[in-house]
Amino acid sequence: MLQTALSILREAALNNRAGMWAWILQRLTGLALALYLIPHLVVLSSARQGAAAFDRMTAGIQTPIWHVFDIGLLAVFLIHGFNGLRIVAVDTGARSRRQKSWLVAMAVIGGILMIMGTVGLIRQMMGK
Amino acid sequence: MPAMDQPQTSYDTGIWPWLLQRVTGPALLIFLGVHMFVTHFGGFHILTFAKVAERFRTAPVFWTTFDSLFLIFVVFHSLNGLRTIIYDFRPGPRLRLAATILLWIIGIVTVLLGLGILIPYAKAGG
Repeated sequence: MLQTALSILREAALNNRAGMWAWILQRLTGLALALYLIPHLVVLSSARQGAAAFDRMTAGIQTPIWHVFDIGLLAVFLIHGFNGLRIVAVDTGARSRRQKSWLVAMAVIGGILMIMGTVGLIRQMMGK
Repeated sequence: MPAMDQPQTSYDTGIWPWLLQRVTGPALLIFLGVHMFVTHFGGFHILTFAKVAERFRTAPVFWTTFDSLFLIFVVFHSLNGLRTIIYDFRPGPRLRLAATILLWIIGIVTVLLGLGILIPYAKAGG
């Protein structure tokens, strides 16, 4: 298994193109998001113990430190989401000359949403 | 030399898993956009049980459908993605089958537990 992982990385290094690194990044961010889903559902499950339990739980994760985590989570999600949209576009037959335009368009939209989300989260950290 | 033309890391996970990953992915972007706005931004920045219950009271059918589909899509997309990663490591046919069955069980259990979270809101909303 480790050998396969190493051979994938070697392949990426030999085949050093943006698409190959995007392929690896998509898997790593996907893995991170899938793992995040577990604590997310555990936190939401506190609603089954009643409103007070839920409010205590959500208050505990809406602190400035967790908002820093949220900024990182937002970045991982936007990378995965908009790189994913680019993959769908390329898979459904965007001509190779348009592939770069898709990459730029997705990066721009993702970047704008990242700035908007970060500003929103910083405002929440300051209690606004 | 067929193997040279394709990336060495690709592995056939099946046409349906491939297609459904591309259907659920863009759908999840929309789900998540709405989710982020109604639960975390847009004036809702301190999330409480009462706020969620209020949302369910105003449009119970819409939000129950929305949250249920969102849950099913996100669990499917995550576990199907995990399956693709497992397939990247080229397991043998028995391991592939075992992984697929195990992921289906995890997925069904997760969806059922997740849907259970809606029950207290349904009760609170009346």
